[in-house]
Amino acid sequence: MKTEHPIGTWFGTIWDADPAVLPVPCTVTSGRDPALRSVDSFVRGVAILGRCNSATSMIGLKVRGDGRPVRVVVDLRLDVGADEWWTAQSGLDPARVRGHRLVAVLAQGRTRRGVLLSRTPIGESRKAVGSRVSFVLPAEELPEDGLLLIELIDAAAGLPGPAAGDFVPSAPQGLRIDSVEVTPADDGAGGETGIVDGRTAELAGLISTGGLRGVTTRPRPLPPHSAFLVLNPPDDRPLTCQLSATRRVRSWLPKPARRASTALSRRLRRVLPEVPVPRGTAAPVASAAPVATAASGQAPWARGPYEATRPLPPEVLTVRAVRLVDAAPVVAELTVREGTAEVTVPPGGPVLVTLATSDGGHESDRVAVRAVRCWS
Amino acid sequence: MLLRTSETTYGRFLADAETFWPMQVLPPDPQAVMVVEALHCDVRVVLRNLTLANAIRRLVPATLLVLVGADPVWPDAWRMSYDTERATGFARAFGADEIVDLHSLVEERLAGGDTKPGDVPADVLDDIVVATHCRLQRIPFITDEVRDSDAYAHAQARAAVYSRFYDEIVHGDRRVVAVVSSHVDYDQWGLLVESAMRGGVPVMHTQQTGALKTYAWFPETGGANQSFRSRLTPQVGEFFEQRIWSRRDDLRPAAERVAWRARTNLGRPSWWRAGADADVELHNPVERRQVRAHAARRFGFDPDKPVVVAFNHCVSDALGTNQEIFPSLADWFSATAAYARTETRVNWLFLDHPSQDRYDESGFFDALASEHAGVPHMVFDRSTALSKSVQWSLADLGLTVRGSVSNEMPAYGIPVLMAGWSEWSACGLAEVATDPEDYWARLRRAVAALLAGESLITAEQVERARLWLWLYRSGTDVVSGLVPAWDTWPPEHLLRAVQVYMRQVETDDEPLFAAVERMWTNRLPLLTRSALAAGTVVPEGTEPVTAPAPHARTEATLPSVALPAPVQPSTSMFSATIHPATRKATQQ
Repeated sequence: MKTEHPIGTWFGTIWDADPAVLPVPCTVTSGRDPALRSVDSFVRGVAILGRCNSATSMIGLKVRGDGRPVRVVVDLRLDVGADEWWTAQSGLDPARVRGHRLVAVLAQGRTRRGVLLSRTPIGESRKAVGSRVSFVLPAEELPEDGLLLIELIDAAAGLPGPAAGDFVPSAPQGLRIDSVEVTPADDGAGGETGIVDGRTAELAGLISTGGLRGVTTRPRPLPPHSAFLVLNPPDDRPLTCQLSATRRVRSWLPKPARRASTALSRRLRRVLPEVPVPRGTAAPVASAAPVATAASGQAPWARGPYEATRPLPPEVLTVRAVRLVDAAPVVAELTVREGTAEVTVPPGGPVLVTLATSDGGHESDRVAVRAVRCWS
Repeated sequence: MLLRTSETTYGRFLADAETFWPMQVLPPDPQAVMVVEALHCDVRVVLRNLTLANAIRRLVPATLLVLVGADPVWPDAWRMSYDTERATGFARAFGADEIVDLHSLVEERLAGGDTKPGDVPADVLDDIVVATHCRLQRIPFITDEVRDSDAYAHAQARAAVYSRFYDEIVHGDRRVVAVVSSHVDYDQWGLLVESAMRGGVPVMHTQQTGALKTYAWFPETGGANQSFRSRLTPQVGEFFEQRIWSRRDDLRPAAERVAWRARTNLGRPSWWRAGADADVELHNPVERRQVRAHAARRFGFDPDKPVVVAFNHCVSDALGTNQEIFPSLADWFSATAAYARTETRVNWLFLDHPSQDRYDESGFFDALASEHAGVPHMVFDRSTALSKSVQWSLADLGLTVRGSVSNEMPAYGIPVLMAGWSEWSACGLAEVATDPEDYWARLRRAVAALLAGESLITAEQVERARLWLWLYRSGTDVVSGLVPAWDTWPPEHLLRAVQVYMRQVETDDEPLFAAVERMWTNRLPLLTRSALAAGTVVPEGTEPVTAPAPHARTEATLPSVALPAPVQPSTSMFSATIHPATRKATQQ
């Protein structure tokens, strides 16, 4: 005989006021909002929703769905405070705070989006990066009398051993949730069609390459800085992303100042190419592009005192892909077409794509990827 | 004693205590003595003991004998420091007529080979030595190897010396009026309490939380050959039944208020951690089920299976202090884990104790976790890794021996099965097993019921648990300026507050004195804030009063002030202790 009083019936007392419920559309921007519930390790803010305080943080929003599908947009920020918070609260080695934060966003029990946030100090910048995580919930996933649950988890924790070392452990710890917006999604679940450029794709949450600077004013992606990319394919279609990759190398030419790229240095770069060096015992690669040694990507005599970036021809690129959260391997197709590389991932949840070079180079080559455009 | 306070504050406090107390107590009878221990490092504990002793000395003329000089193993175990000189000064300021440096005395007798035990039964002495050794060595149980060690032999010798010395005091020439102690376990305190009970001397057990909370045993209540807590449990149950459960309608608004505050980590005693996760912000079963889906994914649980949560104890914490149906706290936990291995129809979550590191250096929990590693339906985790909301979203049944989860969780509708007694285990909040066979049988029945979707807890148990929380946090918490609430800290604040009270407040109708008189005169097992007269017992055959429907915030359930019943007029010549609330009641 099933009980009429399942557990949860007596969680309240006569002193609990009727819970506040928000209608759709609504935006919650303050931790003091009565419709916000801190379910796990979430510290409420005043001007923001609050900060996550562990590797698995969860909030709930009491929202009345009215039997319609809704679009949820979660505004995340990785700022200086997040790193300070992480260092103070996580109890982990403080040196590891410098890195990429790989976070998976779950809602109503399912993984919805993956986010890569990096506050790489390019030029010692301490600016925040942000990401607007957006997903659609069908009507049946928002029960009456229930909550909209949003959980942030450390997606790197499930990755195979060596891969996890590239990411900040306990990634969500310290992250700011600035706001959550819930709007009707009557325009259908798959609003993502057509070809969009990399910036728009990141803004829409289709991809995540480290976050956006100036999210509220002038959103722009970070300059290419890592070999990682998170793709969020829609539920029913694969997602393709056109990439360009560069490699950081040592050069005899100084890295030009942003505005002082003189004609002379441009001509010199064309005159002094990377010189191919015969490879040792590494496996042959089916490409005629210049290759470099396994150790540093360059011949020893070509290594200069300066750092510079060189474009990587798409033929030398290889990809590894893994589904976030369950760490299932994913077959990602890499096609080289008209001098560009395209990565396609199948639907079924966010995917972490790692770029490497097939000439035997590895992470010390400091491959950096940029998304050029996306389509699904 | 841990007393980082300026000499000025401390000196003034002592001076004012010395002026205050002699006028409050009866002229001492040299043939009667009140024995008080001041062996704890924390000044708050010593303050409670001496204040209670002096409150009793308002009713019974007696000299005050204070034991100072804790054995250094205890301050080390608590990672504090003990200052015998300061303890002596404190005792003297509170009117001690005789101060015994227990540590010096014990060392002297040990050095002299004077280790014949007192008249304590040998098995009781052995149990106390085992419990003490486990606590000090921070191990879950005694093995043969440990029993043969020198440290254990020394512990036995020390315990023998304590037992004989305590017998000399308790069964000596003078009449012992009462023994006041902050602990009832281990050699230093447990043997004093055992000697007192054997000699028919009332024992007062002050608590280290709240304002002044005390449990008491009086010889008229009996209970031979049992530990202090074993004797107390049925008495508390009877008190609860007669005085609290019978008045549940009057107490309901207050009990609901305490239940709300307890859930949000307000009020004391609270053994929960504070912070962002202090409250459970889920209001109904739908929300709980949703959070449960997330939590089940995190632990790899099958979300459709019920979850049984076993809460580990601090495995060396006062072994044997009350009835335990397994040989030790660790045995209960290991046996439950072994049973869980075979019961795959439900998920099992084994949580450590947040204070485990202070009580166990044997790695018991981690060893058990690795023994059962890789078993998909069993998860071992740190209790602090889960928020309260996540814990309550998962727990369909809680297991403990005597932990506070067995009064907290039932107050919010989560059933608990106990493998032993606690002071509230006779109050009908949780299921209590009587022996291991009964425990396994109840567990099997509970699992079957969970699988069938049946409820393991009744509305009555929820109501009893809320009333217990009220009794625990309000009804038995005596508030007075003489003993500020436990968290009044650091010592500078505490001593200043008490000093001001002693210096500037007149003690007519002092609630602490009234409460102690009530307990002493009526031989009650607990100290109570006000007189809790028995209510009307619900006659047999009538419908029991049901708990209010959850969230039913109608006019009928809006809180009204629950006035305590009028105090019985006191016959003591030293105080007309009429409770202030009574005046209001009679003026209406």
